Amino acid sequence: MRDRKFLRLFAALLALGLIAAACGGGGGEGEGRPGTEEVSEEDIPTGGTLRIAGISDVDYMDPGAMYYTLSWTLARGVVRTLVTYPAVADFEEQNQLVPDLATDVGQSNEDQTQWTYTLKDGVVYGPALGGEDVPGVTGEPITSGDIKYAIERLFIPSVGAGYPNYYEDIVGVEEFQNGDADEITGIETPDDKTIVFNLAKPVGDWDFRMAMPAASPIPRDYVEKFDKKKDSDYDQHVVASGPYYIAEWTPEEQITLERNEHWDPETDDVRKAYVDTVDWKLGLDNDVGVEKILNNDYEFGMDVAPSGPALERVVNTPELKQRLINEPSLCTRYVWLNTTVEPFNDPLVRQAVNFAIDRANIKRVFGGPITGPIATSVVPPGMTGHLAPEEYNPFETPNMAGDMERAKELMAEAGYENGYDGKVLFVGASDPPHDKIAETVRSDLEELGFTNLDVKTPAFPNQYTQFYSVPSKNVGIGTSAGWCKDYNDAFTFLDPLFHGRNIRDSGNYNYSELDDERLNEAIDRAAGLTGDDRIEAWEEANRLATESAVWVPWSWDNETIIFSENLVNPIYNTFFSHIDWVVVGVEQGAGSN
Amino acid sequence: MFQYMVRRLLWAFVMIVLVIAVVFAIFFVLPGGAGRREDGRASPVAVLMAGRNPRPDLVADIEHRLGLDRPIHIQFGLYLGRALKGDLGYSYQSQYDVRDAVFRRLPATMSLAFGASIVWLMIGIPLGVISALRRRSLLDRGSMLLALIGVSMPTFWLGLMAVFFFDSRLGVYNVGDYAPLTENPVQWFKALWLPWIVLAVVSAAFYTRMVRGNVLEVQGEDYIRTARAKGLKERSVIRHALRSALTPVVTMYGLDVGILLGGAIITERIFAIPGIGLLAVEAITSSDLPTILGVTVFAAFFVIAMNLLVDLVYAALDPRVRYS
Repeated sequence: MRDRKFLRLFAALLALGLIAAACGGGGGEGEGRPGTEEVSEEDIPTGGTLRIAGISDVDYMDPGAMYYTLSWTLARGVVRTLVTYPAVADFEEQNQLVPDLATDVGQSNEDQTQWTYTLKDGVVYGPALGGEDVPGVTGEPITSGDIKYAIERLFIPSVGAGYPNYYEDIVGVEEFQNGDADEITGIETPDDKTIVFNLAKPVGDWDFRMAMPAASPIPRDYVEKFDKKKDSDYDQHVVASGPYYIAEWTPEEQITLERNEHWDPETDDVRKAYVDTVDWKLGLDNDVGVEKILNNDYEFGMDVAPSGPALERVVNTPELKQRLINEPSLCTRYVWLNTTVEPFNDPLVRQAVNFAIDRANIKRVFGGPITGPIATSVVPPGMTGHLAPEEYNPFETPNMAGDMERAKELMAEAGYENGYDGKVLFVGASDPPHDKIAETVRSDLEELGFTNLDVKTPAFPNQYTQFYSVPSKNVGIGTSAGWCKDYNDAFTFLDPLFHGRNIRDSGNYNYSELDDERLNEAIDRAAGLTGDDRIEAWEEANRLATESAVWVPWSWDNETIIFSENLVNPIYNTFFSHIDWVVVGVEQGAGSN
Repeated sequence: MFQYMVRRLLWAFVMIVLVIAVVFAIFFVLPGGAGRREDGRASPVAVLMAGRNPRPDLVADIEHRLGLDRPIHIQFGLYLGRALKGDLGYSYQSQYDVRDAVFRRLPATMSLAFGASIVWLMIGIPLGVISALRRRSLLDRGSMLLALIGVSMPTFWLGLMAVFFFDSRLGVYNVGDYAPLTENPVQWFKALWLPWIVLAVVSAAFYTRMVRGNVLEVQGEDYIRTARAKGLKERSVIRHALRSALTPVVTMYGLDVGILLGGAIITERIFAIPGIGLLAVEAITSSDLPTILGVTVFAAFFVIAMNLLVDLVYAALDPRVRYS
């Protein structure tokens, strides 16, 4: 998923080396970390306005098209899905999805190729964007046909769906997409309450896919006319199913949410919806936004986050530090090696590079521990399949600062005892701190014996579009790559990034072009499992991916969020990497202007 | 005069076409351009829009929908044809009409640009004239020192400091409260007085120095000496001097306002004023090519239009200027 804060953070992180020590690791098992403790229900105030400071607008308002973390954060309170993430503080518990519109989590057949859900009684639509009561929709029950249409429209080009790939396994998608069928035959709706998904292959994480905003109900009769246009403009008409509707959306300026009176709290065990109104101001300058949150003029920053001197001040002031959330954003940053380019086609060379690179130094130039821990395997913390560093660290070196001796031994074993003098295309990025990262990797590689590196550092994020995603460029090593999960299952990391079938001529994400039969099989196997078997299988696939040594992972990123003194119960949710605002309360009149 | 105007208008038209061509080339023709398809590969902007791990046919669909699969000269021809009719296309990102978006943002940017320019003229011209007339006095040295400080302060720093003191500390200003003049004039003024001052400080300093220099130069001219020699009152002499000393100010003013109308990006960002500059920033960060092109065309239009206006006013002010 695209995180807009990502880009902005880079610019100021260099300055943070000094405060790194003061902040500790973040994301570890510490007591009393802001964002990880729940407040009991009776202590949460109700009513009032939740004021949010923002810079960027949502990418789309249409839940089928939205793909930014901040859009998903908004969707949490506006639309509901069959199942959802519980609003609890414990990260492991967050991944135990709970029923939302459905009466229960998905019931699957034995081989996970058929998933069935039954809708609750009393779940109805609210007003459309702008507060309009749509005849025949507002106040009317949500039906299984609406969920079916939500999925079908992801394959209608006018909608511009963000991630239709997660629903391609439904039987009949191809025929529907090609125009050979009027509906996706694999989605059955025997009655208005029941929906059955028939899948072409076992999918064990179907519930996770049904918890994404794209799977929220869409009233077909009302929305079809928007989707039939060249570009769907349902964006301007989004119908609420959650506790809030979109009362106002002035792009790049303001988003206002008001309470949806048709939402019945009895049908919703997750969203408590304590506040009456959400007032999300867009277009602020980051530094100004930070100052205003610290001044309690806003309750929290959506993509406004402290960096540089402001972060230093927050971290070093105990009262302010209590208002700083620093938790995993479920993203991994890595250096990658191309298995189709000599000498990285040799696993021993790749292992040598894994031992040679000083990950601690990369982390230091990136901003230190506040940016998250040093990664030791592919899958980040907070996800199924994650392996804690103390349990698993195949390329362990003292303080993760590299072991050149060991690396050189491996190079010699691979037949490169005098190093490698062939030309290797080395691509980083020119923006700070990426320039420094490229520099530290280059110096390690040169010490290892790479004497002919062809270094290119385009402006971020052109390294992706012009080099990494384009196999014909034959990039040997890329130093500025990162990936964030789409949902909290390792599938969203290991399948697109490591499975051989996903190597493409353009828009390729398996940059290393790794096509390892054992790993492919392990991914396919894990994808079809559920429960503990699935977790174990992903752990195994994570090991295989890490040991293929095509990546040198160096960061499991943390999110940095500040909130006001007035905000009560700001618990951090790993699904949209933000405060789970549907359970926060706001102390009125205290401290604000 | 008529011929002169026609000629200038034609040139303005040619300039706008050239600007569109250059911006178009940057994104669609040059290597690495977001709209460019290279060696049969999809254009980066289509790949970006297709989301994570897209199927190649989805990327192809998007390219087709955006018209990126057509030959580049056809794309340019179509864009130019539409642009000249006033249709700047639709945003790739949010599907809004680009022309509408720019027009919606225009009042905020105009409020900022004209308000600030009035402030800097009100400070710059009197200070410059007084400094020149009281050369080497304490007042002259003081205002030149202020001017030096003014031109040395970058807007982004001054803006942040102003917000820090007037908003966070003193509480007499509140960022993000902008309302259109037609809806709420009081709110409009409350949101703009500080950005006007911030934006005006640098320019006021610059204008002070320019006006002072011009007035001093003109005072040494023969016709002024003649005026004095024949016993004209000092006030009348100064009036004569000011007329020619201030004509360059008109040129500068026109250009400065023209540039500001294209978006005062930093000031709009710091004070959260929803103008054209903010639109440009958002468009650039999301590779929204139609919006980037649209904003550029508008910015070029303003600079060219103000230039034209300045030339006409200049000719009216200074009889020495001939139209041919």
